Amino acid sequence: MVKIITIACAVLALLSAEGCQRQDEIVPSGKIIKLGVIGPFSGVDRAKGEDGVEGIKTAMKWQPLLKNGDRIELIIEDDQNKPALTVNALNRLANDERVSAVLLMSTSSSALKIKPQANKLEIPVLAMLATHPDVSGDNDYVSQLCFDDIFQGSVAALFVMDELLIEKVAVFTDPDSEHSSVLATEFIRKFQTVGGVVTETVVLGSDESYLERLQELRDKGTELLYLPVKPKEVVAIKNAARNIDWKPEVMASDGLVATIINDYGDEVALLEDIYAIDFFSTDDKDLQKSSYSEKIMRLYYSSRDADKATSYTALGVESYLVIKNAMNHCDKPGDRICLNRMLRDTKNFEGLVGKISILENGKAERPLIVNKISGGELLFVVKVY
Amino acid sequence: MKEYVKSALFICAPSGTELIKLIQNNPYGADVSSTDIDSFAENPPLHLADCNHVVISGDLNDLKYVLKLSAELGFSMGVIAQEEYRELARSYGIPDKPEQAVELALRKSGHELDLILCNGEVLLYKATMGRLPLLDTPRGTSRLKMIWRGLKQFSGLKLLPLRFVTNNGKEINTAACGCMLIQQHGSNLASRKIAADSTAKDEMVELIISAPVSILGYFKFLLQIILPAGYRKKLPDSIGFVKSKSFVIESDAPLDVTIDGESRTSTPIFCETLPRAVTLNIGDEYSASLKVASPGKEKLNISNLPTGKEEINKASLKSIPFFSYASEERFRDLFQALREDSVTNSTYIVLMILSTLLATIGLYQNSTAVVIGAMLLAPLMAPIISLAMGMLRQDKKISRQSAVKIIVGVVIALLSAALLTLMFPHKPVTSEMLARVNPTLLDLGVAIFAGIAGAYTKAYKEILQSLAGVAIAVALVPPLAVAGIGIGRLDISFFSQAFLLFSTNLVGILLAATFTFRILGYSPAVHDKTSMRLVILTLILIAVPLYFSYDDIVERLEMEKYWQNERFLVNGKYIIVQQAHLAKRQDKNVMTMDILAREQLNRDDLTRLRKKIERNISRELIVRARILYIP
Repeated sequence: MVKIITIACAVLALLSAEGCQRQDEIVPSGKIIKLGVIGPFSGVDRAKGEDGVEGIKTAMKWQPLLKNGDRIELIIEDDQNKPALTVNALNRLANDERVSAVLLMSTSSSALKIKPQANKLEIPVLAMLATHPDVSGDNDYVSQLCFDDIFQGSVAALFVMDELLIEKVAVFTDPDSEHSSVLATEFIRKFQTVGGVVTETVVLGSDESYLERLQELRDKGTELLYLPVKPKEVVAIKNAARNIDWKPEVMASDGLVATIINDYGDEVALLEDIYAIDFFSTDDKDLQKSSYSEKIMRLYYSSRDADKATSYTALGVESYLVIKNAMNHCDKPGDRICLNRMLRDTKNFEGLVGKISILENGKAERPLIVNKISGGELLFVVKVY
Repeated sequence: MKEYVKSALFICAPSGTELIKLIQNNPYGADVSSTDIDSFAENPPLHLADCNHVVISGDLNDLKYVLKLSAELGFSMGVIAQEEYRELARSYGIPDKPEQAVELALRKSGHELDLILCNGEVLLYKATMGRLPLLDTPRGTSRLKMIWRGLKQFSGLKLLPLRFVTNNGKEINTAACGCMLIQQHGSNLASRKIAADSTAKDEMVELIISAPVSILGYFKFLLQIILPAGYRKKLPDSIGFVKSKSFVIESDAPLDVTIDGESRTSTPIFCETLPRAVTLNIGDEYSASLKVASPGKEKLNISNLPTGKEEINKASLKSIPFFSYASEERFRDLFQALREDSVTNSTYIVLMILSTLLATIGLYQNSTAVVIGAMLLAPLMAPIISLAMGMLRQDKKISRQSAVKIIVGVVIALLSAALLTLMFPHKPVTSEMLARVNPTLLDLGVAIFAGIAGAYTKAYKEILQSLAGVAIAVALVPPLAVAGIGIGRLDISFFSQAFLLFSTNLVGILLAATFTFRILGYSPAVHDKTSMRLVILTLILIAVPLYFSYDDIVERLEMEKYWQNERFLVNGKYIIVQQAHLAKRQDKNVMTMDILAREQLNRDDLTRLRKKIERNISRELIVRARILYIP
């Protein structure tokens, strides 16, 4: 009897065991493929660059070699998120360092600025953070890893209308930011299309007094504030609302929590209950993540004295894996033309929280996450494809 | 007014010179001469020539000798206890203080008490044979110590064939690990808990027989003994109790008999009560307790003892087994009922057809109420339980008849459902049907617990009404009806999945019921394990596909849960997934979604939606969407 049960259990165990994933051992070839990284590593936006590079390095530690055994080497250039410096950095990387591709961690202004140069140098650039719709589309070499602002603006408007069931909103916009302008415009357009009322569009000025504006908005019956503005402005507006004892719903745009945590750590409490659109979520319970997500995050935490990663880190991980995937599809991984072609042929690549595809025109298709901020965490609400 | 004897003989140990002075100088007018036991034994009548009352102060054997002599010669007795026999004195209500003891010993009003002789030896308290775990625990032992003793004593416990014959000629053939004859109660656990109403004046001797037939039974007994009085049964399981004027006790091999703590004789043993044979001066309190005793009637409580020949033979083979066993005679009614349940008859066939037709219509109607009605009507549970018992007891007849009955029932059900399906022009697949084509390990769990409940309700008539609940829980006929519908639809996948659910239920119930009957003590004295091995092997084989489908169901549920938070932006239109349900149809994954949209969705939108879903899901899906519009 015992024998029968033992044998049967062994058979069951064998049957139930997941097939051992035999990963072919990659033998290092000794060759180096240079990968350029441009981002802000100094100045006010340095957190974006620093967090992003940490993500890249973590992914490199996990998968250091291409399938042919070539090793990727990072050449990092600081542009302080200033477009002029970005162009210089690109030239240096393309001409002097002869990198095969560039990962750009600067924002849309820089990405827009280097488009002609990337075309001229025929060097593939993967813009990690730039969400402006014009970053890709009309050029051959700059591709995006993020969803663009049109998608984000539309989703924000429809989420507010159909899920929060809110019909009266006020929109804040920063005239100095392309990102903010596009988001605000698209939000207003879409929100009004589906019957929503925009009580006011508030254009941020240098001597803005939020208290008076908010009182006016409250009087107009505004239920939600859409704030595609800089994180410090979000904090200021929330603070002002608190001062007049007003608690409207608030929706903000991507990267809010990552920036606040890095630059305004003390202000995180003010962000409580804000809806924030992002690429990721810190919620492990309700959001389906990729098979490798946990493993790579563990690797990240083990190498740093941190217990949470920002969106920039996660984008850093994904950008490295996407470009490496493209390199693996080229006979000569360093071949820029092939690499660019393969990059724009990325289909259903498994990102950290969903599939990523990069279309022929360089635009990315990836899910967008609507989170709600709680205790400095991004709690998952919905995922939009 | 107390009266005292005029003269008495004081038989005293050599150390009792103080007592001699005390009794000879008694203030009660009794003329007391003294002697020692040896002198007395040389010629008792000579010493008793001038008096008819003896006061003794000696050891237990001296007392027994004089008591026996008292029964023969008819003199009355008083006792003055020595220091080391205080316990003995207390049991007769004799005071500790010598002055008071002398007063009691010289009284004229003695009480006529029974005398027990076992193979000619006087029995004052108890006689034991074999091992009596716990029963022989001395008075005043703490519960914790009792548990420890109980645990220590059970190792190597073995039952011995024993034969008892009472005064009325009642013969008890049983197997027991030991027995105890009791005259005086109070000195040990057994006499206090079991034979508490026995007295030295009821003309009876009590016999306690200890027969734990299994380790489980022994622990149950242990629990019953240590439980507080309110929760305790008068007669614990594993114990037999007999009260009679005399006993003959025999064993296959001579068994040492310990009388009042001393090994005195061996089996066979004849113990008889000499009614009112001695006149003894006893304490007032003890005397009062004797008055309430009713002399006379033989009492037998042996239902807990193994009695069948089969059981007795089994008992003598080796140490007690883990589970108890039962002879055919012991549960005659139950076995008879199970035997009847195993016979295929017209009632069964008619009920089977009716319940299947009802279930089939209920399934097509998608009516849970009708399907439950069919479950209640279905007569399949009875032969399965009979088969379980047949297998446990290697009763080939019951096993064969039950198996045939089940097969007949299954064939009838499949045919009835298939024929009805063929007659229906429209054959929709309802959610009631779909619920029965994805069996998982959880269904096996349901079947196992239902099997336990089924066997339990069958074993205890008083809870038989619960069998309806068991039938609903396990639902044997609906999966069969779905399998029949699968045949009618010529859909092998439908048939095989539903039949797998039925097989799961069948094997689960069978195995669980077999084990339950075994734990409840219905296994035969001698059994082989072939049929059990077969069932376990089948269970393991059936568990393999169930395991995978369980894995599948977990994945499906997770996916459905995640999909409730999924949204799509298709051609600028926002689509909310309200609910998603994933099911397998003809080996294909079909995702049915309830979606909310504000704007009208055209063909292009839906195509893009499908593509987005397919792109983001790792498995191949067929998507079905129910659209609800937001006005």
